[in-house]
Amino acid sequence: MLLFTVFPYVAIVVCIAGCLYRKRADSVGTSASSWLERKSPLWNWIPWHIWLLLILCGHLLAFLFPHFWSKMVYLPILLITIEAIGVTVTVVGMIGLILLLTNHLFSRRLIGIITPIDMLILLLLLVQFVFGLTTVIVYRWSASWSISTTTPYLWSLLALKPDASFIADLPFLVKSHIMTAWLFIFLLPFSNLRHVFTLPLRAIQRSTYRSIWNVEMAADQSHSEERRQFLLGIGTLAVGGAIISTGAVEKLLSYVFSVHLSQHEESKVLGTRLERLHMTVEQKQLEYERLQNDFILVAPFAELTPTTGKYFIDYEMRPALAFKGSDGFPLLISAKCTHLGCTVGNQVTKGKILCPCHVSYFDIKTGEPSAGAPAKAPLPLLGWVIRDAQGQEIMAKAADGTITGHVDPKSLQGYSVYIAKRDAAEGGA
Amino acid sequence: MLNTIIRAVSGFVLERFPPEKLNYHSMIEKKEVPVHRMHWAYYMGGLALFFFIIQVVTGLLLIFYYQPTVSDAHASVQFLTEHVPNGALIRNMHAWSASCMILLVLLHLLTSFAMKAFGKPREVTWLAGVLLLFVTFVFGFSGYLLPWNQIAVNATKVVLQSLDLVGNLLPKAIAHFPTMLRMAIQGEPSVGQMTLSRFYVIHVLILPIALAALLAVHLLSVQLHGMSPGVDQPAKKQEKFFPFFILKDLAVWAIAFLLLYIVARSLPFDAFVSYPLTRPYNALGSTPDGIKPEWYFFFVYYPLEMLPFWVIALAMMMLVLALFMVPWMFQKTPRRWLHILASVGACYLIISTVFGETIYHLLKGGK
Repeated sequence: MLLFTVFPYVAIVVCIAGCLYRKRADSVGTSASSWLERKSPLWNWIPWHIWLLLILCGHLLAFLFPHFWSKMVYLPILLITIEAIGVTVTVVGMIGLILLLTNHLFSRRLIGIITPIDMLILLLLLVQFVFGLTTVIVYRWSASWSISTTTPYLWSLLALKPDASFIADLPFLVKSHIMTAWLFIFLLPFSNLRHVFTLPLRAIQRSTYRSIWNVEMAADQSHSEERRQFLLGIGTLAVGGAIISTGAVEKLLSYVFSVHLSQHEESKVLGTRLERLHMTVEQKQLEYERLQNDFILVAPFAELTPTTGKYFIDYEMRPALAFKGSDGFPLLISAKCTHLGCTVGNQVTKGKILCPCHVSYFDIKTGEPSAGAPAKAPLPLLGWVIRDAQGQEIMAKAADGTITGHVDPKSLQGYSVYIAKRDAAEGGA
Repeated sequence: MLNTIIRAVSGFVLERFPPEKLNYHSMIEKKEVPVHRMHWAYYMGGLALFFFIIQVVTGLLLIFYYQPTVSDAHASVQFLTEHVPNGALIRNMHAWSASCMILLVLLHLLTSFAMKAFGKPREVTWLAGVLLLFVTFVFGFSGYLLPWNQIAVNATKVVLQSLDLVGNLLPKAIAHFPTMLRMAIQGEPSVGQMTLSRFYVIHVLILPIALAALLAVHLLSVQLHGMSPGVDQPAKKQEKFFPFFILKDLAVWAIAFLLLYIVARSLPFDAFVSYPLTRPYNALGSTPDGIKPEWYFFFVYYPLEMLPFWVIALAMMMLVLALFMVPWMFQKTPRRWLHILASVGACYLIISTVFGETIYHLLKGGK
């Protein structure tokens, strides 16, 4: 545990002291900045620094503003975003570092500028990248759990009350990541990389330019530039295409081949299908009945109420509503809105029913739409027939209002309400 | 007389499709794209094409599981979404990409109009483009019905019923045509199995063929005549179409694909529709509240709710006619005016789509 409580201070002191000492010893500028001036053929150190800074900023944010940070990672979507950005930046930074390292290893110009200790510290950085990336992948949501582990640990160091118990339970991998960080700080003053503190801004500001000697050379250059761009484009296309196709093929294969249902799911799916088939059959039966029978049962009279309509299907297979009218007799009205054919609602408010599509109110007694409604034509009233249990016709009202037979409305309880084909045939409905 | 007509027609066609240019060299190698401040607009058509390609691929995949019958349509879609690996992803991609395609087609229309891309000899390109626009809208309309849920069937009913209303406005002799058309699409007295089968065939067979044919004409004439200059002052810089513009085009496609993938992964397109409306259609129940078309019909739907039907019908007819007449109507109009017109059109589309519902409720609020 001493490694995590004492060594950090040692590392920081060595780092600061070392840097100060070397700065005094050095002439103006650092030799690190002189690397930056040399443009390597393909990869440049400068953009890579941006990635490195981004990663550092991510770590610093969690350390400096734990409260704000915890609020952010509390939202799953932000947590995922942060992790995704973190991984992306790390991967890019790592690839960049590997490319730069190999490039510089084989570049003769830079031998002598990169010292062995520089190389060591760069390799250490690479190892650090690997540790960090593995941590993020193996122990998910590090942006979230670091708030209660590494952040208080770092704060305890800052408060000069080092407490390693915060990180005591962390896996070896994470501890290695932290240890490597201290080691990195410790070694920094011995390498040329300490320029992070001297910030050779001049080198960044200085524009890079090429000397072009004559027109032929310029033409040649633009031609090769064009070819380079083309090859780069084709290359990117090939790589991108390969990545996308790999993902797409994987998804397609599983889409086509890997439908596996548990027995429970399978029976549920089949149940739904049967239920729907049943509904379709019912609908077809309704049609068939209407072709076959002269009378269709709407409802037993006792089930009708003045306030909630009972839906039924008329002879033209259109929806209709049955109410108990204020005169005590049945009241049958079409429910297909005369505006655009929506099905009208069955709740009566103030003697009116409502079509929800475009807000038309219809009077149930007359079928007339209220003034200003989108519907202009009234809902047609339907004829009805009252029959007793034996199928004897007791009373009927045709669509045009003609009433045949008469019974006291109070004695209707045992009878049922029907619609008749003869009314439909007359074109009344 | 006949000779003059034949000569005029062949002259017109030859000018639009010059045979001497029908080769690789002039259609691909020589083609250049002007670089100016409206340069971004040259990507719109390609992007619309990209979304169409997505539609074809995801659509083909959806047919693997979709069953176009009234009893199974909804259940098969539900099965696809819940039990098939990546089924929800592919369905979401299809739906989001449909919206994107319509958005891009509209943008493409407005920018091409503003850049005067319809000028001679590009009239055929424009006409094919307008037809493509209609095909795209019918695609959206026919695809809407296929899941056979409450909102889909009821909205379809409303639109089909509106055709009858159009008939009332026409002269007696042709007044029954819209109803005949409705019956031809609907197939039975009420929206049912026949309607679903016909919409399905229209959506997966007729429209794709129509679109492919129109697209061939559209793209052929684009390649033949090259990009329109787009601005009054000829651009100082040109960019080679092949390979540079096309590579950039592909880069834009890649970004679009990434965004589409993220959205389709994380956001079900029907998350904006309340649950009762996504339940299976119930022929015997009442129409639920909140039936409305997809957002790309709002620009005609909300005015329809607020103004008399004949006003909208007339306006729509005029608009369609005007779209076909654009190459001749605006032949002499300076680009500045076209810019203003296109901006007005864009403003109208944005306002009616984004605020249409709010305005409608403000006006109808009391009732």
